Amino acid sequence: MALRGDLLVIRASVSGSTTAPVIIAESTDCTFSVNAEALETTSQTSGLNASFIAGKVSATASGSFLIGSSAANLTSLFAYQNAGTLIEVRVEVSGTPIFDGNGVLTSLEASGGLSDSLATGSYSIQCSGDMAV
Amino acid sequence: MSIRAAIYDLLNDVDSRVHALAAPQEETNPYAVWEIRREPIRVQESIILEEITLTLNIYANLRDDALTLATSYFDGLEAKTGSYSNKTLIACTWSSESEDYISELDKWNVSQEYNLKFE
Repeated sequence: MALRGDLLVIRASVSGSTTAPVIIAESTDCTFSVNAEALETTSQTSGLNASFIAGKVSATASGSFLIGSSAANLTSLFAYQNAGTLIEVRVEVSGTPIFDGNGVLTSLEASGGLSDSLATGSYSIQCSGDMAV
Repeated sequence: MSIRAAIYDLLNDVDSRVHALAAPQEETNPYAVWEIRREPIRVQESIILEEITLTLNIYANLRDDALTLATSYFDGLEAKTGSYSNKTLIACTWSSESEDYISELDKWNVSQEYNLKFE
């Protein structure tokens, strides 16, 4: 059975705070990416077959949101980014955490448009350490 | 449904000769009826905006009267913003218009479509 899009969410809060992580207000989509390095171990004896061993695993969390009329969602994220605040990142499916850890807000964007469009924002968080629950 | 009330308030502010869906049978003056189609704009947690396509049908015995009322609605609605029945209109854009003579009714009809966004 497939999962409805709005049931996979990224929540964030200030790392170490007593406040539970919340969905970034007016979020329209979110993406959690995990990448693993492959360290090449090909040697002269490998012939035509390249070989690798596992390297570092890293993850990023990113998403887009509609900028609210007060832009509070944008300015809150900027305050965390500007202060270098460590963010707790939690990915949930139907309310159950599947990834959890800390990260740093690496990018934040705001985009405007014409009168028939809505102002949008996007963010990206570089996760740090083990994200396993 | 407060969107219905907001639309009625908006149209009634421009010209009071507006009726929801059907006009009184004895109505002979230029008048307008309207219908709406909703396309909600969603965020992950809820619906944040109501995008409404408003179709306004204006009827009159004379073509000039229909066009005059159509112009009046265009002037009053294009780029309109404001608060109506506790809903905030943040955008209103005229998108199309057509006109026709309806022989069964012996009336002229001008049909206008607007795109509205309510918070």
